[in-house]
Amino acid sequence: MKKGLLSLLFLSLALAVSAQANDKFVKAMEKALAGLDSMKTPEQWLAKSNMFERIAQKEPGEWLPVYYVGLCQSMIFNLDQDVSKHEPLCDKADKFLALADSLNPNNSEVYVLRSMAAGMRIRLNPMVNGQKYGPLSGMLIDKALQLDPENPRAYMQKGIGIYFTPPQWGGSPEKGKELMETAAQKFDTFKPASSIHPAWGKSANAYILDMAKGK
Amino acid sequence: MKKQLLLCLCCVGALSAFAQTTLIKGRVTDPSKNGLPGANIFLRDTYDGATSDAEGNFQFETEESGAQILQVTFLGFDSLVQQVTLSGGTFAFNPVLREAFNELKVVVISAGAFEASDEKKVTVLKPLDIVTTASAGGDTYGALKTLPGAQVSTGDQEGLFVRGGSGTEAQTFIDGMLVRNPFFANTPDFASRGRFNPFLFKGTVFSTGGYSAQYGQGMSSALILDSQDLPERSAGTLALSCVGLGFGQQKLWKDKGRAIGGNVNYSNLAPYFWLVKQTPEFTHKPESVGTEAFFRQQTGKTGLLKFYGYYNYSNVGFNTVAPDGSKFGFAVKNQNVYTNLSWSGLLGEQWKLKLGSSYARDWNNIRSSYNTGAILPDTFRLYNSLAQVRAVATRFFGRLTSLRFGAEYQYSTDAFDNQYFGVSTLRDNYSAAFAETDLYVTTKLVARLGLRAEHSSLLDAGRLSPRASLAYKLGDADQVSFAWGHFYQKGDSLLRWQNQYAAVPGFQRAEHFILNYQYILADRTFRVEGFYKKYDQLVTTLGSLQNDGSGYAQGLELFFRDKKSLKNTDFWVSYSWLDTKRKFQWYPLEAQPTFAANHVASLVAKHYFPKIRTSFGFTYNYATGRPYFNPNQPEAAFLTDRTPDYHNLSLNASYLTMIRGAFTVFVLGVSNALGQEQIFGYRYSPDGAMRTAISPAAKRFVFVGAFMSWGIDRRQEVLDNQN
Repeated sequence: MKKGLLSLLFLSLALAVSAQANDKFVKAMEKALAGLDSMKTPEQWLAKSNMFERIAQKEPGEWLPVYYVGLCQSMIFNLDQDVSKHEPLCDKADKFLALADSLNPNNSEVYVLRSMAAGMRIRLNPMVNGQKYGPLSGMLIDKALQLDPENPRAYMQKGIGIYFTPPQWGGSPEKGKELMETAAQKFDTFKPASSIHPAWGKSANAYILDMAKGK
Repeated sequence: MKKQLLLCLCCVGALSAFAQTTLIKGRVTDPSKNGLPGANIFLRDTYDGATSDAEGNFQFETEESGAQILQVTFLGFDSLVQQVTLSGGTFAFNPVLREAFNELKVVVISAGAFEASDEKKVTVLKPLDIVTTASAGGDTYGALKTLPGAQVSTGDQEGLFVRGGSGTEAQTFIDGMLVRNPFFANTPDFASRGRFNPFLFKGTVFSTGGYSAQYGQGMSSALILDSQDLPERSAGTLALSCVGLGFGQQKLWKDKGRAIGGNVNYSNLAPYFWLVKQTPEFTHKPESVGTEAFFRQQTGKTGLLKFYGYYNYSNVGFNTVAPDGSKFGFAVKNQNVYTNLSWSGLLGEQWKLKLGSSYARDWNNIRSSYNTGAILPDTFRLYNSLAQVRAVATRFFGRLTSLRFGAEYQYSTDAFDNQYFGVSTLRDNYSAAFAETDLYVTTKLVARLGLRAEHSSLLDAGRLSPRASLAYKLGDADQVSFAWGHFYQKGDSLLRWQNQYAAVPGFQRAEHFILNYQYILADRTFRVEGFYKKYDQLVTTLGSLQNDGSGYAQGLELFFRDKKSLKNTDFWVSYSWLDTKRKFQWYPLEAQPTFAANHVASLVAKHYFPKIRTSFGFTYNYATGRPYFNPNQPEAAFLTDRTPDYHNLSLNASYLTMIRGAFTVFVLGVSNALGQEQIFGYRYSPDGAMRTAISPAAKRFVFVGAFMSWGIDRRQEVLDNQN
């Protein structure tokens, strides 16, 4: 009896500890995600990236912190004027996204970021990398759409990609705009799976769409 | 039991009730105490940590206590891990991070070497530069002529003329092995193109002197080509141009461990010559059929077996009018076979082994005559072959320092077959052994010390050549480098037949001294190099063949490349000043040789228009006049006449697009767009009274072509394997 009571006690204790741990993880993630939409400088994104990396090393089985590290690299790449950092950023993004993919295979969100990372490689050196990473970026985003046809970020990424690709290479401003409009509709109805699941991109999509329409 | 339970509960309570807070604060710096902003400082296996600010300062609180691990990570620096004991209060932590090993920060031996590579970061060129240089026309050697040290105005001769050296003194090596006939069949008064497609190679090192002890038998220069490894994907290619067509296919196995491929091509200049009039009268318009095949197989984790095979047949014949109105006829049918089989891989962590073998054979069937009418059958045949094996082992000591040693054996034959004298064949068993070390004293200072021993059975002689290079990194972007060495070469076997089957001469020697300064920062490169070369034991052909020639070459070369200052524009400028004289072959005295211009300059520019996906390029080559032989001059004025200066403006444009899923590049190229007169020398009548200029067959050459490549659709495979 005593033994049974004891083990019950331990079990509940363990559950409490793990619930507390999970709570801590979610809290840490929420803290890191706070204000993500208002980041303006590469330094701010780097600080966020560091936070996600800290969470990732504490929770090696979770794919979300690793995923956000990948997102941060692409944001730093967009904002940082120091081109000497661009290649290391590509390498780091690839490393973390490969990890995210192995922790959570066939996830639409991860494929969106992988497509973005391939796009970074192209911008690094269009003449050399275009032929390899151009089609790769396209394949990855198509796969993201196939995995989740309701993912607004997949429409957005595909739309931006097509909008900025020259017509000879299969690009089309019209088609790009259409996809971004679809993305905008999907953003309106999109509900993230939890407070820490990917929910970014609505304002960026609206911004680029306005710019495209303004032309 | 109850006691234990109580204790246990107390412990759990203690975790929260008695937790004490420690403030961790400090500054992250590099070894020279510069603050590092953006570093990630954290307690391992906790959420606690911070990012350093603009000055490198940071602070954060933690409730953890006791033995903990503090870690600092920062992109581009080695991460730092430290055991600490936390017990409340303030904990001062001032980590010093060291820069991670970075290829860009390590000194490289740059004296005499221009390298094009995608794999290495600090190179002056990329492989793509070779094919996009306007004056190159898709030929590796053509692109190298825009670099300092090489002559540009030798459009009438075969080979690369480097720093006062003749065309035969520059050797080509593929995967370490000597290539005997890297150029298409030689025809008098025409420049020859390289046989091998530049896309076959992932890396190119053009050495204008002072090169590694791994390579021998080139007195002036070594062109070291590294063939591609496994291709990235299966693909098909189609090339269509105004001179011919080609088709290729390559297949990459699904496990990415094996690939096979091949190309066939046919070219015929008859339609082009019909459209654009050529000066010589062609009895057979240049025609060629070629085929090549490759195979790659990964062996184990690090090994790669490569095979490359090449066959080409070409046929050309033409008459030129001599100064006295008579015709000189020349026709050559050439067949060439080249094969290369190599394996390289790691043996454990510290050893690398490279094994190679190659067999090549070249047949020339030549008809030539001075005649007033049709070519008379004054026929002769030239054959040569080269079979070789080579092994090189490298032992690594740490990250940078290494010791290389190896040996090679070559069996070569040269045969001359003439209807009056029959076949005469020379056979040589050439063997060599070499050892060389890349000794990194620090990441800033490297010494390369090498020794090469060679022996030729034909010459019945051996030679020992010491070589040494030093390089020192001055700052982040610049370095100085010095190279010295002895370079031996067998005499040209043709000389023997041209001189009544004279006795075989011995080794010839050049000694190089090179001093180089190089600055490379992101997209700007500046190089300046001075050199002095001393020749002795050069083969002379006056009377019998002897090794009593000599000479020197000295010069200064500049190179500047900028991809940054002008948007979407990449340009380089090179300038070479050369002072050289030599007594060799039939020269009665030491004179500036006919293939050497004193001043050579090139400007290469490329501009890319992203909106129209088109890249435009031009190359301007300039050289002062070259000496030519004038029989009317007294011996004291031997080779003192100069041809007019050489000018050549080449243009090219390439438009990139997609056609039915195929990446397509349309190329337009024009050489000597301004139609400037180019005179390479003069041909005199036997009495010296009349002469005609030796000029290109046509003023301009216009190339129009399209290259298409289809990646075979393997989407899922690419997705699975891209990481």
